[in-house]
Amino acid sequence: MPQTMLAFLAMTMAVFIALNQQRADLKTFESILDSEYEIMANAVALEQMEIVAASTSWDDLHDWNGDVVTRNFSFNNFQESFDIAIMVRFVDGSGNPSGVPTMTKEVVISASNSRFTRPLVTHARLISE
Amino acid sequence: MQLIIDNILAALVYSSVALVVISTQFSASQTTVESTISYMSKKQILELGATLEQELKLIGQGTTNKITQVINNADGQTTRFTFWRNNGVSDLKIEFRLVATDTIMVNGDQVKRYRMDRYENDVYSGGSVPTLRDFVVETLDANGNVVVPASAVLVRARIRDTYPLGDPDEMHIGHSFWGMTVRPENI
Repeated sequence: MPQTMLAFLAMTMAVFIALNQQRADLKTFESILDSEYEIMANAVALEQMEIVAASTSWDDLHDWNGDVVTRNFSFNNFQESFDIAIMVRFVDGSGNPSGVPTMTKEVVISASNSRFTRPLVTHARLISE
Repeated sequence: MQLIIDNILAALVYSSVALVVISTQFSASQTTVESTISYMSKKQILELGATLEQELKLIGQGTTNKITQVINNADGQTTRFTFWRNNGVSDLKIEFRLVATDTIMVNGDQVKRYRMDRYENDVYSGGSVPTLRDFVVETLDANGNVVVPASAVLVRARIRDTYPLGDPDEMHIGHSFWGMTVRPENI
């Protein structure tokens, strides 16, 4: 009987170690994948930020507020799409959101992907008149 | 008879446990190697990207010459990107050239890999790792559409590095991405 119990314990321990290792492997793989998506999201978010800044005068920046556009990170045989949410608001001299018009606007751009429930990256830029 | 059965059972339990522990250890070391390869690839691609970003921001600085050449191959990769800037003494012609390095076989598919070489006034002055799968530089207008260099307001660069992982008979490929869009002041 004691031998049976010891054998059972040994096999349980082995299975536990194996399962733990599998979980760690999966976590490593997921974190590598997450970082790649964050890099791609960062690239498309910054691209959109440059487009907003280059194509729009300060007065018209609010036209972008609430817009959601789709941008692709793509190569010849690879494409990943990201939804880019844009928010524009007035901020005061300390960079805090202001309820009244000021001389500075903050453009906030968030990039998300259908694989993830949270935005992958968020960038903000202050643009003065 | 009972003793023989006990011994056989003990041997079976021992070999089962040993097999599980050995395969777990093997899997753990393989994961460590793969994550190290992935980390090194990412590190190299981020360093290349940071250098490239600094370089692209200086397009046209101190000179009337800007981007003079963007050549893409049939796969959409930029094989030659040429622009000018001044280094405070004279105008410099900076050129990125994409050079094929090798082809690896992954699950029966051929994956071509490249190296990006940098030239200053047609003299070689460094380059990237030889494992790039894609290198694309595009000139964009203010709305993000691809345009000819003369009409460019933005410059977009994207790179994909690639590395094989796993056993030779069950190989798969890993990728590291990098991308950036800059608005050079003097473009």
